[in-house]
Amino acid sequence: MARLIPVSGARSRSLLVGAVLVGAFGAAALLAPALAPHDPYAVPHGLEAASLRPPGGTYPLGTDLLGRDLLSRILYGARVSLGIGIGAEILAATLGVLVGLAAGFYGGRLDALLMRLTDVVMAFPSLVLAIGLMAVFQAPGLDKVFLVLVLLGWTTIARVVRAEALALKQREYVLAARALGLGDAPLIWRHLLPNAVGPLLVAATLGVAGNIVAEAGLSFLGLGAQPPTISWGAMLAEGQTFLAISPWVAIFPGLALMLTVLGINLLGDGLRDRFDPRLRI
Amino acid sequence: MSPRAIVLLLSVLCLLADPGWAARRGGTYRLALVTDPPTLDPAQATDTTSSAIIRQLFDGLLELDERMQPVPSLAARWGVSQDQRVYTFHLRPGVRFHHGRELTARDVKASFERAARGKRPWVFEKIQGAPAFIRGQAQAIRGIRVPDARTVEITLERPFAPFPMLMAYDAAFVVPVEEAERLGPAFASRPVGTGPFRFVAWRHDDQVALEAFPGHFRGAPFLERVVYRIIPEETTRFAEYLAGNLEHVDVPTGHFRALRADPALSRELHVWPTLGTYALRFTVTRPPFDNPTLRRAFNHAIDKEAIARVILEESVVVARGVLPPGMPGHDPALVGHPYDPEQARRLLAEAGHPGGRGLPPITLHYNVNPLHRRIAELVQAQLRELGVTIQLASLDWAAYIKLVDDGGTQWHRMGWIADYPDPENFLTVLFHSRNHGAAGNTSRYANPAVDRLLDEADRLPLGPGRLAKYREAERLIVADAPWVFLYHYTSRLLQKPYVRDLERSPLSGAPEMHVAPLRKVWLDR
Amino acid sequence: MLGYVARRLLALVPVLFGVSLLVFILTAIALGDPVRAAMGQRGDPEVIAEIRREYGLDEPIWVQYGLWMGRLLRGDLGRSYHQQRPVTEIVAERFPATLRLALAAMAFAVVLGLAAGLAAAVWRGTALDALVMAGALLGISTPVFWLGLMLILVFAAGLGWFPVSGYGDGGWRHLVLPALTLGALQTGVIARMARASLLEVIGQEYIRTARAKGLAEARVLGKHALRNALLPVVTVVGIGLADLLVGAPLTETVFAWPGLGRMLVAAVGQRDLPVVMGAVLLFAVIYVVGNLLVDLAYGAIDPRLRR
Repeated sequence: MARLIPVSGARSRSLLVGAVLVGAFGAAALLAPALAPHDPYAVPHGLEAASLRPPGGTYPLGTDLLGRDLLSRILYGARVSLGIGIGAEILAATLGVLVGLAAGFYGGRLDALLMRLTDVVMAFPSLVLAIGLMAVFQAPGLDKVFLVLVLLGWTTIARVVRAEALALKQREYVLAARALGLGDAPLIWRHLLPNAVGPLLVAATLGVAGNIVAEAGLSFLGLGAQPPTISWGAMLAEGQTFLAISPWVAIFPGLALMLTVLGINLLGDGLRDRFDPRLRI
Repeated sequence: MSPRAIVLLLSVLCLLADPGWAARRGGTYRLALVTDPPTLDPAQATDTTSSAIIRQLFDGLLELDERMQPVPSLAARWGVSQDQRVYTFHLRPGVRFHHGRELTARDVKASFERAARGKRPWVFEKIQGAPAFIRGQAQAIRGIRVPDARTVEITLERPFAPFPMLMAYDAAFVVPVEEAERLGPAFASRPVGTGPFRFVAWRHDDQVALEAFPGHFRGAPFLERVVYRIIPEETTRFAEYLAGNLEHVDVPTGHFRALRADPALSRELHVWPTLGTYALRFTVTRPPFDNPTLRRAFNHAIDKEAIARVILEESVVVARGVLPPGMPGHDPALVGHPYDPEQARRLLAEAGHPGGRGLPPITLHYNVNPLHRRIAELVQAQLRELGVTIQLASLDWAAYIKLVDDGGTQWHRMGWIADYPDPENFLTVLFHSRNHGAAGNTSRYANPAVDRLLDEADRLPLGPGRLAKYREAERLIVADAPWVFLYHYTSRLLQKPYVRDLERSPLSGAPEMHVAPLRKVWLDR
Repeated sequence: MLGYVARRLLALVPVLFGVSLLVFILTAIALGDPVRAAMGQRGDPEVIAEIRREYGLDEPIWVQYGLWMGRLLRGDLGRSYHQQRPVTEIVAERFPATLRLALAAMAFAVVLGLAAGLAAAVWRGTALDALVMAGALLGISTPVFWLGLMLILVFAAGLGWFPVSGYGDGGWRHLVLPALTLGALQTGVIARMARASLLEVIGQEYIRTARAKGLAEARVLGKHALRNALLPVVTVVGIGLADLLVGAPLTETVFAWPGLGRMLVAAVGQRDLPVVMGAVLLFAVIYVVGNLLVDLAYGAIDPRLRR
């Protein structure tokens, strides 16, 4: 596959910009209770006056229909977005590493079975399968989104790890180490994982971005987070209703979402250029 | 005769003439549907979208006039026996179906039996022998007889004064049974009726087209064509209306206030009451809501005015009881449980939960929909002020209706819009203890005094005596507060100024159903 | 080559079988009662039981799978609970709109992506290059549903150039904004790919030779570099088309586009499981077959890949 040749200096620049963006939203998520100027859940008294206020004054980004401060809600929304994005990816990556190791290291029937399973899961376009999966549950909710993202997110990493394991098995020093009676566990720890860490990190970073977009998409469709959970996707769905009269309700949560994903993609680009030029988006 | 006298005479003649005299023929009426209709078969429909079209394609024995009174339709006249149990309908001669055959009394009987085994069997269950037939224990409904080709005789199990209204309901519309049998399930997408419009084409999720049926027994309607366009997004419907591509449209969320302030569009804005009530219903058979004091406390804690003003943009009427204004028996003197946080606090303490202490976890269920979600979020925030924490849970309609029917919620939202304008359709269906669960009483409310009053009222002939009993029952129900009564629906519509004689039905809040029947409508342009 | 095609097709069978099994299992364990839901607010237990019998919902699960699979092999996806007509009919009605949107989005992505990517490569290191790469990254990072909303806000609600949403009477004006929205991500991917592969080719030996021979720069680019640089782009386009078909649910929802994606979302809301199954299955088949075609095309171009 073709190599992406970076514009000179772009590698470190994308890493930097990406890190700054992700760091900013990470800080927003962690410090939301301290940073938020208002209670993001409270419906104010005198609702009529507070409803759908344009940006400005005590409400820097305006308010939604129920008079709630959009800035505070976006800050709290970062917790859901990043929490789901990173949390689901950690579990999915762990699952992927285990599957990939089992398939690559032990081979045979197990390998065939696991790889067919990987093929089947990858045969589905992930968002479509995620939407379809939501039909299985009686009620939508963030916990189900999390589950679905883990169940669908392990395949790429499983393939990456399996390929590394297969390649490693052929190397002479591994054959030698085995002949000397070195067990599987030390091999995996000392040789396989260090080799795989680059591609793993890149795949996991892009996985986080994918999870965040998927959560927002499902919540936008009403299949994700439910109130009072604050999700950018759900805020956007509400924003679409009031797009013509109060566009700020749709603009700001989407902007936050885009900047977060952009930051993660930049981070991923930078990491990829550093670790593994073969991978591409 | 002087010219002046001629002018005068002509003016008088004009005044005397039927209002339809000036009506113009021709034109296409274009309106929007929110979803593709699931069916066009009256026996299979359960939703307002399907009914909206079915009402143009078929006729019933009777129909409801502007004052919601039953008047002749396929039946030219009808009568009821002394004991109020046997209704005799005399069919109008010369009524033809769209495919040319003449209507006979046998079609009526066969249509009713077909529909009784369809999706709305309750419309027929008052007829003698119908329950056995619906359960498949009989070959025919014993209570429907056809003495001759023009006469249908229907015997009820017991007197039921609103029965003629059921005969105007769209589940009781008449179909040519040999066509329905020949087409099988395909009848739902190639319907044949006697109605003023006949079916032309249906491109799913795009449009349904009807055309005038010149052979209608009342003569051809004024409109040449009716086109229903399926446009799920409210802002798109609105844009299409503004672009002149729809004759009328619903008012999109958040736009009502702006439209009322708009000098041009405010004149195209029409608002009228719908016979419906939106409420948050408690399951009263289990703690904590088996306690009426707690239920009253919750009623006082919720600011219905704020819901009506902010979420519904002042377009609805705050509810004080069950029966909506415009429904016979509606009691304007009813006070209900107005918003009063202090009173709510007192009652909460009286119920043993001062400041919300000692309450078990409470969940309010609603089905997935932005409006229901907004209301639930507001209710949650307002109860929080009293120290009461409630969880929200939303389910899609399928899972929701099952859970609600099975009594699986503590507290759930539910709207009810009259099937026919009679208090029985609200009070008996929704509060009689025999109707627990799916039959309508999802609160599982039971009060022997209310049951007794409703049983008596249901059997009385129409009139003030009957309504007085319903009022008494409603007062008892409201005092027990099995629901938090939120608001009565209204219909909101933008309608082009050249549209004439569009009747507004209070029987549905759904945008496509605002108007029935379209046969009276004409376009003045 | 024929043997290769046959092998690849054969390898598809277990995957498709797995896909069908997975789809069936998922819907079989679904909770709630879809039949009850189709009945409106006054359900009759007798009628519900009747419908359950009719749909075979009372049979044991493996019998249901057997029945379902048997019908599936005959091209019968069952009947929609909600619309009471065959799923194949519903799907067939919706597919053309989705295909049309995907093709338009791809056309847009290819034209703009290629032009921008190649220009960025030719003028490498300039402000134009930086702009294109930044734009491509934005295209990749912007969630489609938000992009759609913003395009509506500016070009439909604001400037009034295009309709807010809907299919209209099939005219191109209704197609522009949804196609832009759906195509944005692919545009970014194609631009990056085109730029990278042109740069790679330019760096290769024979191009340097051609240059050294004194061929005009434009001729070098046009005749030698471009043709070789386009090969990887072809694969991106192939995979991308399958991606576009399945990226449709969000775009179609934002623009009220009457395609398969919106049908799927609506069916999930109505718990119309036969329709959900049918749509997910069809999307998976499109995806798998699309990827297979790309592989085959690639195999035809580069025989080394036919392992």
